Order: sequence, then structure tokens, then C-alpha cells
Amino acid sequence: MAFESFEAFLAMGGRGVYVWSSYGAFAVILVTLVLQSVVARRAVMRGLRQRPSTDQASGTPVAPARFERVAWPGRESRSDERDTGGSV
Amino acid sequence: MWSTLHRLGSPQGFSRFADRWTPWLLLSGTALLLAGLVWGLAFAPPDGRQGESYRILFVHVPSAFLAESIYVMMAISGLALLVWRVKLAALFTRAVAPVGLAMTFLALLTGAIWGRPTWGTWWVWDARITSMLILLFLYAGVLALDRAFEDERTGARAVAVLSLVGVINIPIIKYSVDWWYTLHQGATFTLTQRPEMPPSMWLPLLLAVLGLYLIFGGLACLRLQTAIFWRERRTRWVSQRLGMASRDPEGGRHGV
Repeated sequence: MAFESFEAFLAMGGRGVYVWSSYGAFAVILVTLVLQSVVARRAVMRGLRQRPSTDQASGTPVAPARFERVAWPGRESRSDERDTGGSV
Repeated sequence: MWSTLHRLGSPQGFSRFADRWTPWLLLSGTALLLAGLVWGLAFAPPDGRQGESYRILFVHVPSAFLAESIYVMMAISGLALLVWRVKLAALFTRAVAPVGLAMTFLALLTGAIWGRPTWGTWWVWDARITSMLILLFLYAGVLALDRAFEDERTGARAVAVLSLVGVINIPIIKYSVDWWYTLHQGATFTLTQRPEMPPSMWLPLLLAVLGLYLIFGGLACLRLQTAIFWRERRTRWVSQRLGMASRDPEGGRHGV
């Protein structure tokens, strides 16, 4: 240990505010990134599972009206109609 | 080698790769990062001149490295899209640009917090810090441009061009501390010389850098795979992956 006591560790030689706020910001942003990525994945998966991909009676693809909510970064509501689902 | 690359370049091949590697990248990255940060915070010796506030280094440098690396990756990805028509490239850029933006912001923020007790100021308009701020604007520009086009392919090309043009900023960031008089200290790691710090300082830093890069690898896999599922949603393989294979008999005709 580089510190004599836990209090000294927290105090960081009087620079505790700077050190701990840096580490705090780092942790918060990193955790937010991971959580946001996981939540976006779940939302997309849920949206895709719920869709009626073909109309049962006619067999034609159903207009994906319910896709609008499960945005992958915010653009499919415009491009979806023309998108024929071709390769990436 | 080439067959591996080829497989990774296909949406389905990449998805399989991501399935296998995402959890390991995230877990091993978190373990390394935590080890590096605990070592740096509690066990590394205090700095002779700066005392304890230098410990901000262990979060500042990894964020700054990653912020620059992601932009270089986006530029390579832009080249891959424009020259070799690699179709995953546009999705890659879109998946990682927010991570790059966050890392650049973190590097600037922790740098400002570090600057206050060290230089006596939150901010100076010197070369290193200003070029880093430009990197932040470049990331913001990429994200805005990506959403600005009606036609997704036009947008992807515009983003690729901006990524390529903007990459000139990266060597400017890197060499700014040598080219101009600056408050910012010189490079921490170079390929040719031993670090000036003792191993008890640069080893934890190395661990933190490696850990953050591994976490980025996991994040990139996860985010790119999400984008692939969305883009390929009408294909049979995605339907099968989602466990709804029989519902889309037309799907197999499209894509892949």
C-alpha cells in the first residue's frame, strides 16, 4: 500500500476531490456505455421477435409498422420503407 | 488468414465470432482494468512532483489512447467502405463512434480535473488540448452526418470521407507535445524507449490500457452485432438466430 491509512487513501494527499471525481466520471461513463449497448441489443431483439414477419393468409411481407419504436440509432423510420433487407 | 478475414467480413460470420468472443472480451477487460486501477490508486508510489493527483493518469491516458485509436479504426473502416466496398464497414463506424465520443469526452474531462491542481487551471488553449477538442467535434460530426441523409448509402459514404479526412488530426494530437510549446507532458509510452516512469507506475497503466481496449473490443462486437441483426432482420439466418425460423419463408432470398 502507498498509504498509511484508509483515511489517507480517501484524502489522496488533499487532492481527493480531483482524483475521485476523475475515477467516478470514468466509471459512470464506462458503465453507461455497456448498459446502453445491452439495452439497445435487447430492444432490437424484442422488436424483431414481436414482428409479424409474413402475413399468415397471403404470405406477403407485412409492413413493419411496429418497427418504428425499436430504433437502431434513429434512422430506420425513414429508410425502412425502401429497405429491402438486402445484405449489409 | 484471408479465409478468416473473409468469414469475419460476412454478417453471419461476424455474428458467430461476436457470439463467442463478446463475453470473454468484456470479462477479461473488466478484470484487467480493475486490477490496473486498484494497483494505480492504492499501491503505486506517489509522484515526486505531483504527489497523489498524478493517479488521474490511470484513467486519463487509457481514455485518450482509446479515443484516438477508435478514430483511426473508423478511418480504416471508411477506406474499406470506399475502396473495397466492405459492407460491414459503415455499420462498424456507426457502432463505435459513440464510444469514441465518450472516450474523448472522458479524456478532456479527466484532463481538466487533473489540470486544476497541477497547472492551476482547468483549461488552456494549447495544441494537445485543442486538437483533442477537435477530435470531440469530429466524432460529433460523424454521428450527426450519419443521421443527416435520407439515403443510407450516401450517408455512409459521407461519414467515410469525414473519417478519412479527420484522421489527419490524430498525428497532430500525437505530436502536438513535441511540435509546440505546451503545458502538457510528453508521451507516456513510446515504442522505441523505455518509459521514464518506474515499472510500479507504468505496469498498472499498461494493465488499465489493455483492459479498456479489451472492453472496447467486447462493446464493438456487441454493438456491431446488434446493428447487423437489425440490418439483416429479413434474412433467414437472423430469424433462425432469434428462434423464429419457420415464420419467414421468403427471408432466405435476401441478403448475406
